[in-house]
Amino acid sequence: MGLRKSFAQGSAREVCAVDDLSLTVRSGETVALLGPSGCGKTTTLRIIAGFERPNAGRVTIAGREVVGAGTFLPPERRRVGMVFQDYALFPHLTVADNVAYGLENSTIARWTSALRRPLAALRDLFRFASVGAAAIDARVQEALELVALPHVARRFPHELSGGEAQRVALARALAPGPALLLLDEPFSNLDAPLRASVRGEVREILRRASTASIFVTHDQEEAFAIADRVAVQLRGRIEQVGLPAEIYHRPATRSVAAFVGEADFLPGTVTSDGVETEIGRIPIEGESGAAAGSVDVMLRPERVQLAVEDAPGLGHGRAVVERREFYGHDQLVTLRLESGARIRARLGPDADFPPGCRASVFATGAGVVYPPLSGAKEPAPGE
Amino acid sequence: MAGVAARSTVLAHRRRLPSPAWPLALIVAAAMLLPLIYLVVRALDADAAAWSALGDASSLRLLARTALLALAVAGASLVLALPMAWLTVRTDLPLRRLWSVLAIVPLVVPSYVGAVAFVAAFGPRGTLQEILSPLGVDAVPQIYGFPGAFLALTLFSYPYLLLVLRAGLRGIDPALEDASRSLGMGSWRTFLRVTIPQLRVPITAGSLLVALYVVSDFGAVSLLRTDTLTRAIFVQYQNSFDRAAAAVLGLELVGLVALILLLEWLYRRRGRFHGSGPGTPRPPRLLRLGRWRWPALTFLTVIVLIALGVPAGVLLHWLVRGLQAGEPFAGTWGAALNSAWVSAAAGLVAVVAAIPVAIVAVRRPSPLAALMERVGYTGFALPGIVVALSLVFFGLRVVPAVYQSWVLLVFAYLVLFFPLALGGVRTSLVQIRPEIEEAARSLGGSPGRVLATITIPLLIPGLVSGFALVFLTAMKELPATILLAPIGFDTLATEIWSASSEAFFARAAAPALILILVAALPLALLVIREHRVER
Repeated sequence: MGLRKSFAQGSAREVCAVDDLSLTVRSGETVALLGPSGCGKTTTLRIIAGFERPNAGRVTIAGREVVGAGTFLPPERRRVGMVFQDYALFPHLTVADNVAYGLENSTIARWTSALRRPLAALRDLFRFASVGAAAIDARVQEALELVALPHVARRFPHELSGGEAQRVALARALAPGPALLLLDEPFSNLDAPLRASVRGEVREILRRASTASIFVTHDQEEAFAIADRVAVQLRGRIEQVGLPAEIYHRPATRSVAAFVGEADFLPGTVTSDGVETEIGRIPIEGESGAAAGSVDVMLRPERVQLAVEDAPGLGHGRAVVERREFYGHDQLVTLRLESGARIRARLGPDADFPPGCRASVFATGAGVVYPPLSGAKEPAPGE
Repeated sequence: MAGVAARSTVLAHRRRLPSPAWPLALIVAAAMLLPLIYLVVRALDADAAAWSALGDASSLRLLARTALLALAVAGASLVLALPMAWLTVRTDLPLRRLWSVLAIVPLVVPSYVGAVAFVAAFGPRGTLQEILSPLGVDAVPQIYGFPGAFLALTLFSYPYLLLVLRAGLRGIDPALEDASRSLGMGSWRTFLRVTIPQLRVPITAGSLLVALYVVSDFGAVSLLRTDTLTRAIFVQYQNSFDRAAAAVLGLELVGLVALILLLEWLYRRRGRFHGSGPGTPRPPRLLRLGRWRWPALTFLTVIVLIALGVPAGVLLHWLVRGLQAGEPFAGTWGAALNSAWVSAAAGLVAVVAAIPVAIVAVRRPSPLAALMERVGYTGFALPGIVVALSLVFFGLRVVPAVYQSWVLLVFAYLVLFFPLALGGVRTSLVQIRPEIEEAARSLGGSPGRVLATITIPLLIPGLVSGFALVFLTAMKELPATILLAPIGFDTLATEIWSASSEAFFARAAAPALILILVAALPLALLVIREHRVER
């Protein structure tokens, strides 16, 4: 079953608003909502969860409209689980009681709905009474096993490490069997070494739980590593939704390209087999039927290489090395071309192009073309 | 497959979910305003004579005497508190910690209890005269009147200023003083030209606080027979058929209080730019007193002896005499019990009423929510005698069913001490992150269940401290208790009042000592907390 959410919300006063956004999440799928801070990601999540009302638009979860014209379902009736940025574990309850909290609610909800249907209530009475507490305990155990933490059940939240708290929050949100799981910057509170391992664990847990989930992040690496699909949200709008590789290699707009990883733009002219630029002819990524005439071509630094100046047969663009950032496993070299344009190249750790040295530049892969900035046809950014 | 939808944009600001706390908070806020509003209603009833009497020479003298007393007490408190604050925070005074506690302890003596003790010590038939009479002295200087009230109020209200000044002194970045010293200023000149100017805000705010306390005080001025507005209101209420005139006087007192608050607010706003800079200040170097420590110790000893030793000694003396004379204390226990349960009821009602107001103020910030919160603090500004007077009128005219019952008394305590409950609950609520409640909602908890299972359990520390403060403060309350307690309903406060009006000091001693102990509890907590902060 599919989930459909579409909202339009805007703000005259606040920078951070969700503005006319539409996104569909399929069941079992993990979607990352990726965007810079202040772009409205968290607001989007809070609208889905029911903590904010959109000014217009609809949210449909498991076929049921939870927000729409004249409809507003309060958060507790949406079957949406949420993992908060700092986990929001109830400090006065043990881990087991935290996880059980949502289960007790669903028992109460079943009771009240049963009371509305007297006949069914009679039939169910025995089942609930006998299953009740034992079923909750079993489900708590199951949820804690899912996150590999059955041994912390009796602890209090302040006795957990950051990674454990993270997984307990996940177990608590998953225990009632939500139709949709929301995670708000789930890894931002963990320190870097822990983050990588917890990220892997969470991905595994989400896969096993096979619950549709949306998680918000500003870290593209995180989004690419965990999500099945990534939605890039900029200035309140979703600019592109796609597989991680699609987003990275074929950004739909210039803004997406610049936000997701390093991107440099070179002016060029479209020819029959690529784009003619200052550093030579560059093949066009994907089908680019529409492009013609003057364009800007976007290159990722990994697709730019350097050679010693005047090496025969290779370099087209002459450049001066301006700056070098050495990262260990690779290095990023910033170059100034003869036209004054700047371009970056990601090189292996052994290459030696110190600042000030001259080099010739060439592309090793395809680039994505966009209409030049001066043209008024640029779709999304800059207004 | 999902994609980018192209649709028209709707612009409007974000809306939060409505909260069920709103209507409850509105009711509480309205209740807080009731005494003030009804006072105005009654004052408008008064005939023109009552209003024009405000301009009489005697009325003006009354107002002038009240203002003068406030001014004199505030000035004298500053003279006492400033050196005390400096000695206990910035010098190597021997037993500094002990002195900083002892200097604040007079705070625990309710002003009317202190006044009773002073009358018992220095008044006619008092302890001093008893000691002196064998020596042939048969008249001691008059304790009644302006000088007596001035002395008592100064000794029991300078600690408010001391607390504010100590906090202010601690907040000053010592680097500023170091800079002044390095620029060639001596320590004394540095104190005058760098330290004191930085204390301008605490000095002014603290002095106005003392002035507010004096203007609102009823017990000390009444027992020391000094005619100020509060006493005049009470006399007018008791002795006259025209009670609307008392309402007019009450309104005049409210006006005076409002003026003081306005001054304080204006001053604090102007002084807001004074703040210590960023960075972690080092603890200040302590000034070595050297030989000066002897005069310093003498100064502190004298003040503490008069403000603390005299009341405690005199009350104990009378207690012992009462015991020897076979004074029955059964009445005291009954009164203590009455005080305790009425105060407990007030504490309970106050914290329950504080919950919705705090929720609205903290969770749904808006101009209206801020207004409601401020209305909740009305009780701090309204003198007890004014609230009591207004509620007497309200009980007689509007709800005779609860007049002369403890309901009205508890309501008066609620209005007067609600700020204490609100402060406690608010502080706790601020510490509960809203995500905790949202997490519970997203797990399927209804608003009611979230309140019961998450919010209130986490609020318990605030609820307990709010309750305790209201309880302990209500135990000491005098004017509302005298005016509103049902006939025959004795509390510790009314016991002291009636006993000392008739100069039965032995009968007043036991309840007075109990009240001092009750008042000492929150101070003990405060001292412990301050001690922890220092470490």
